[in-house]
Amino acid sequence: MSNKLDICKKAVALALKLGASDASSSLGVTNAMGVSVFEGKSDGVEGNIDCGISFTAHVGQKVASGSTENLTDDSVESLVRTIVEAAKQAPEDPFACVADKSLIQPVSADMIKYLDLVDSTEHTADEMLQMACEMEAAARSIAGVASIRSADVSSSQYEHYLVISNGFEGHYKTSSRSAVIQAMAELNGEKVINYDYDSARHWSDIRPMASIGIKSGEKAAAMLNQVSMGHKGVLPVVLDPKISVKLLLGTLQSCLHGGNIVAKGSFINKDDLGTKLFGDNINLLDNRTKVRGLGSSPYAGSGIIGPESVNLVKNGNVENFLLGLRNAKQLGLSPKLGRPSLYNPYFEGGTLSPDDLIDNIKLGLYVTNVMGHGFKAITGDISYTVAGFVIRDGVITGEYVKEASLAGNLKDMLNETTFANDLKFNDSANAATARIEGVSIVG
Amino acid sequence: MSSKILSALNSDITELTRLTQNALQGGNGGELYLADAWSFAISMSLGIVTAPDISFGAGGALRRINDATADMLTFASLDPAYLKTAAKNMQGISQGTAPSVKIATAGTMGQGYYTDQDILGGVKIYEFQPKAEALMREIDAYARKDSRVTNVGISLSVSSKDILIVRADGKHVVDKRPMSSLNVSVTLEDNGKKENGGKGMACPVSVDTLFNKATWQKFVDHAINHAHNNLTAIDAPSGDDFDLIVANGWGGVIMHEAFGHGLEADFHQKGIAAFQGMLGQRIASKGVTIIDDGTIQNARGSLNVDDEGNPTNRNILVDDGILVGLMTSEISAAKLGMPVTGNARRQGYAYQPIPRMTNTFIDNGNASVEDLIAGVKKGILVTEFGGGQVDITSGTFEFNTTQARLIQNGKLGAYIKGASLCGQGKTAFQHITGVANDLEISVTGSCGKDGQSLAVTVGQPTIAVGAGAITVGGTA
Repeated sequence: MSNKLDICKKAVALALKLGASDASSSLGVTNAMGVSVFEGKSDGVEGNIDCGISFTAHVGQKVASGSTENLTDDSVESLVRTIVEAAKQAPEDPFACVADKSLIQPVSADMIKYLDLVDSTEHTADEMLQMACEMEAAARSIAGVASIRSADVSSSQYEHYLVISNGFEGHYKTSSRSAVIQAMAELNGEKVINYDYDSARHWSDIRPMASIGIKSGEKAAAMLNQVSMGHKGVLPVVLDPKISVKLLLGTLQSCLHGGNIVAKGSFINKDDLGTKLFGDNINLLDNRTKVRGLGSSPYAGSGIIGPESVNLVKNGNVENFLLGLRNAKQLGLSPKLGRPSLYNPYFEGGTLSPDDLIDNIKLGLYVTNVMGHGFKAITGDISYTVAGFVIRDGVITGEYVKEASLAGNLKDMLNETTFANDLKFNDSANAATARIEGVSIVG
Repeated sequence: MSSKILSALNSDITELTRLTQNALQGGNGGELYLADAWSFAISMSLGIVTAPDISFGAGGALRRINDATADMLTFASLDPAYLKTAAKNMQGISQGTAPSVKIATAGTMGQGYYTDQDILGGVKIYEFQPKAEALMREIDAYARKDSRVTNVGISLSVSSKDILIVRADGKHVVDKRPMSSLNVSVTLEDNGKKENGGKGMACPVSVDTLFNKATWQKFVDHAINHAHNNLTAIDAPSGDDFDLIVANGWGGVIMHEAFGHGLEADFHQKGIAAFQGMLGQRIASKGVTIIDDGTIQNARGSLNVDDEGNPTNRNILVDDGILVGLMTSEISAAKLGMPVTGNARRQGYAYQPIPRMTNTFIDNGNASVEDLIAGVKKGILVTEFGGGQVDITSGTFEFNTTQARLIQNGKLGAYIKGASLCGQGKTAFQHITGVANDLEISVTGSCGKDGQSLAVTVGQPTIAVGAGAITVGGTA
């Protein structure tokens, strides 16, 4: 197999020779290994070699794209010929484009070094099995834990190459390490399951296996003390940081997506750019260059490098949309931020501690789990099934509500949200504990 | 069918069988799974056809069953060197205990649940591309006859996958799996309000089916009607004191979440299922029969053979309310001492085959839909759903309505905004008070489990669920 950057260069050169006006070639190779354990023994070892090249050809305003997993010279050449031919047959797309030369710049080797996305430590399958066993044993040591669904440790290395006919060339490598366990607790025939995990670029950033196992077991055991609030009506809710991300960040992100704005599929419209839609304290930021960040990357797929940090929402104002080249052209906006999607997004934290945030709540719900797909971007309506602990007289009790309905509207909720000061950057998307004033709760 | 795979690997069945058996030595089962797929996709939005995508995917996996667990090495590309490396590396993975359970198989594969002909009818992708474009323009123009329509999104795709499974026991099977998909979505604006609606199909049929005018016009009409109704929707109520009437077809998603996943045998194998040890017990009202059937002609979830090489079946899971069966893979069947049901499925070669649903539905009863609605004093008729989810251990399930309306004193009332519905699998279906006779099986559907997404369908006749079983979560 040829050098992978050369494969991309050759593909682009061939397309131009065949009559393409522009072309881009993106190649990825992943080598992954994962292990599972159950009852202290291997529950399977898995090794994956995954590779593929994605290719896009432009013939004037006509475009086609495609991919293949086979990187041999013959296979890539055949793909390029097929895609150029398909582009010639395609209808004109007035919004098709590659990034303007003025928006691209060379990828800095210093930046790649600074990001520190590659771990040089490797573990063998046997070492990973031992780690998973340690995690499982710790979970099983917690009172109430009856079994586990899975205890997995995995690791991978990824290489990415990108060549575009506008002159852009980039490549970088990353590694990923993760450990995840699902523990089951049981009391009088009532079974509950919960999980804990850690993932990072480097093994050294993964929490000790025993700590992950213990946490999963404790989280599961805490769900055994089940109550029903018998409540129907508006309540203050407090979201665990992971739930803040899912309920507030994930949903808002999809509403800021250029494709949704163009198709009028979001409650946020093009005209809302620069408009205050949310509370003063709502700041959604995105950091592309977090050191060892799970979402960090030296450049976007379009070849645009863009600023390291961007405000999507600032003091409640919608400042930027997530724009790929085509959506930017459709909206008449610049794609210069290089953000068709987010890298390491987060809501800025607040000033109150989580305890102070909860302090004056007489009756409320501390949400630790969200189920379902109950978000509608076009209206912002939210309706999820949630679970969590009753808050009574300013304290999170041990009373677990395993099933409650939470309903509201994202725009309203982001006008009544207060974030605590416990923002941590554990995942690619992060948020602090959040309190929302008036949410409809049944459960 | 497998000739392209064999020529890419520069091999034949005899040689692959020998390689597989050598590589999997020491285990008690497993297979070499090889796949070669292509797909074509094109879409249209805001009146513009966007870049067609033509993709090729091929690769394989060697999987060794070791006494009810499995080691697996996967490789992208049908490259003989990759296959040899995987075979060599498999021997390097240390095995735990010696095999003690016997892995059973389930006879010969079925054939012909979908077409084995070229899905494009012999036409080249280049030649098909302009035809697809013309169809999308026709659909777009038809939808825009309604002046409230501000956007029409259309996506069309076709794919075909050849697979060859060479088993450790020396058997081999081939299958050719086609899929033709068309989806239409519309956005309506009226009086400053926006709503969307959609409809489509994705079935293992010749692409000609997508060009049937009556079919796609029905998708558009349905999508517009859906958005129109939701423009009039009032805030959904909340509480657990509503009788629910769940419409036929997609309504089966409740059963899929509340029951289906709980009857997948891998959860039972580890002792974590809500329905653990309940075989032979009543888990639903009398009159409720639930079947998983991978052999329905041209249904989206049908397979001639599952991904371990076993034939698919019509498996009765719940018979007149009594739990009578689980869906198994070879490993879970061996571990639980149950029959292999042909439900082992994998998203692609790089994924482990695990017990999954195919076409899962509640069978017809004998009530009439009109009578079921007429019998409701205070309730909700749910006609369309978004996604659903289940916590397999506690049995808590939830799904979201995308179209529903109030029922008062047997009469249909206002449409209501999307609400979440949640309940407990172990009790909800014991509240079923009526099963109608209008069974319909969906023509779309995807199901996710352990990070693997698969084509499935759900189905049911209209059913009535009494108050107290399912909580409605609205804002009113």
